[in-house]
Amino acid sequence: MKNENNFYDIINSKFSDRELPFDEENWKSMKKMIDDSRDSKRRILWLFISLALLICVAGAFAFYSWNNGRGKSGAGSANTSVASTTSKTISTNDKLNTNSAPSTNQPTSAATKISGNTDNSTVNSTKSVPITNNQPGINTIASGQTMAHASSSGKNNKSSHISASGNRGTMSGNKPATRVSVAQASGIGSIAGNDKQAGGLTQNVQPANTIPGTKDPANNTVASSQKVATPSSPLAVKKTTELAAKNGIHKTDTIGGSEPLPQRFSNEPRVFMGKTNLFSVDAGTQYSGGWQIGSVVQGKGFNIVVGVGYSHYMGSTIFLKAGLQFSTFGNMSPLTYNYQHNVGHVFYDSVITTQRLYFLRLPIQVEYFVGRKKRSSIGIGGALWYMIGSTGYATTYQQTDNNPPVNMQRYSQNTPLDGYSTVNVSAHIFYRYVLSEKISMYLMPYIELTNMKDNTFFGENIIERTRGFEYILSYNLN
Amino acid sequence: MKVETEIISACIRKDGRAEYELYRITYGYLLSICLRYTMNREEAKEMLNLGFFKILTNLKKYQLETSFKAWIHRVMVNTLIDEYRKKKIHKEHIKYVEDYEEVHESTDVNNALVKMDVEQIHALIIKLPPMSQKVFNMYAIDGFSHKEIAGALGISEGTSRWHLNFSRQKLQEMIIQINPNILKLVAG
Repeated sequence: MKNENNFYDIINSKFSDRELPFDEENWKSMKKMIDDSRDSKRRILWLFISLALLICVAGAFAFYSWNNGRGKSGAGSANTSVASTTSKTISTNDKLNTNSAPSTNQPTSAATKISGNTDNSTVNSTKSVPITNNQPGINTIASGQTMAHASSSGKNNKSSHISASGNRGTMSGNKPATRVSVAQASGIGSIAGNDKQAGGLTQNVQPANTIPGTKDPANNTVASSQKVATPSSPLAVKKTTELAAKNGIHKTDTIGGSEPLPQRFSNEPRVFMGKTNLFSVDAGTQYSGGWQIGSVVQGKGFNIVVGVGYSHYMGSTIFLKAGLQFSTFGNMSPLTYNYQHNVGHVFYDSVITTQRLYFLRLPIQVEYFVGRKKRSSIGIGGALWYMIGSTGYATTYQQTDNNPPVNMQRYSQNTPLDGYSTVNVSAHIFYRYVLSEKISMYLMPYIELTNMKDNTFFGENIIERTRGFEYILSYNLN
Repeated sequence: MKVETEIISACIRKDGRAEYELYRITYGYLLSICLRYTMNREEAKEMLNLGFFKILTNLKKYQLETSFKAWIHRVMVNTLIDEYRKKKIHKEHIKYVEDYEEVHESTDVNNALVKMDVEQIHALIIKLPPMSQKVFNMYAIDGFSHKEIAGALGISEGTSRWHLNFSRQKLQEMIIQINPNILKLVAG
């Protein structure tokens, strides 16, 4: 034993002070490696910053769109029937002259000006305002948007401004409130110069108006065969609702009848659209954290997941989903296992390297839609993984005594592997965001509940359970 | 090899000149370690750069009051083992049942060993099978225990002992081959 230790000590002492001459050339490759790494870090930093900016911009845009939609539909909820009536009126009139306002959301934008004889009235519409001239001498103003805002002004010269915007249903002015009536289902839908005012005054609209497309300014009066009513007037709303119903217009019909109201006013999640069974194609990527074997991490990296899904709408906001998926599990290259035996001085070595495992998975999960817009959901589920195969390669060689290996051969090996668990189980939680009626996005942290490798085979006591997350895009087929 | 604290501090600040200086100072020592774990000089240089890169990126973790040489030695050996494991994890399914008997009195071999220079010994070590070579390096030169070797290389402690014993026997045989006088001494 003493001699044995001396043997090692001598070798140790021989090597402890061993130093070799410096090679300037090697520094160049070292320097390149350092620079590349720092460049790579910078690139990642810039990528991160760009991504953060992109998310901010997308968030701002989404917020703006949401607010915009909210503003429009907020008025629409009170004046929907008015709007519907308006559009119906337009469609029933044959002679339409379109007058476009510059902006849909600027209450003061003057698209149309109409002046009366005694009162200089101006009608402002904030939406594209189709002008109907269905009676000679009368210019009809039909607001394409929900008639909502009316105001009159002109204290001294008795001029009044009537403006319509999509957002408010108010009237103001120093005169008795002028009732504004938008074009109605009756087909008349006009604001007339002889309009009755709330106070019983008649408001004549001056012929010298600024309605584009008017041929005879002399007859350009804002004509209305009905009382000009504020949209906030219950009577007017009721009346127009009745008219709308009579004309078969659903309350969700809007201008032109082609644009549905935002789904967020419905209780149903947007994705369902009244469907109870949905079939989907799912595809995405999975990041696996792998597991540690000594100082090596095995199974760490990105994999592919594709499959089909079946979803059932349980009512209210509960959603049940099952599916069948195919997934890869790669980055196994650090693992090789070696069959070695020796006959005399000849070693026969077979090194088998696993490259990738393939699984069929059966996921099942339940999700709950949250939020006012019902576009997001959270859920919990699990998956059964069944290993269907693997790819890898084997290298064989012989070595006699201390000579270099000979007869080295490498060949593919695509068979199920011993030592790996055929069945695995995982659990996951997830967040889903409905991007559109067809496409949803899942972000899914998961954890394996069973060992991927059979420890009895490898003679190791290591927990080979991966964890990570999946990013899946789901496309609804129906 | 003597490394000034200022150089280390400058390297932490990513000073290019300090990095070059540190590389120049540690090159010979690190290369000698790499040569023991690799098959050829080119591979050793490649591994050296990989190890030195790890040293640079982990310099903040180095505690100034401890030996810098010991620290870089450990980082370098760990790098070599990591790289080795990435390429290959041996798993023996065949038990090593062949025992190697002591064939010569080790004192004579040790005396011969003392007279040999380090390059000669290195030339003998690299003739060992890869796994045995690594176990021998880790145990005899780098001071790892069998438990540490087993954990690092993914083998059992018994297998580690077997490789060490096998390596020692082989080296002794080779030393005797190049020093035939030992046999005469033993026979006499």
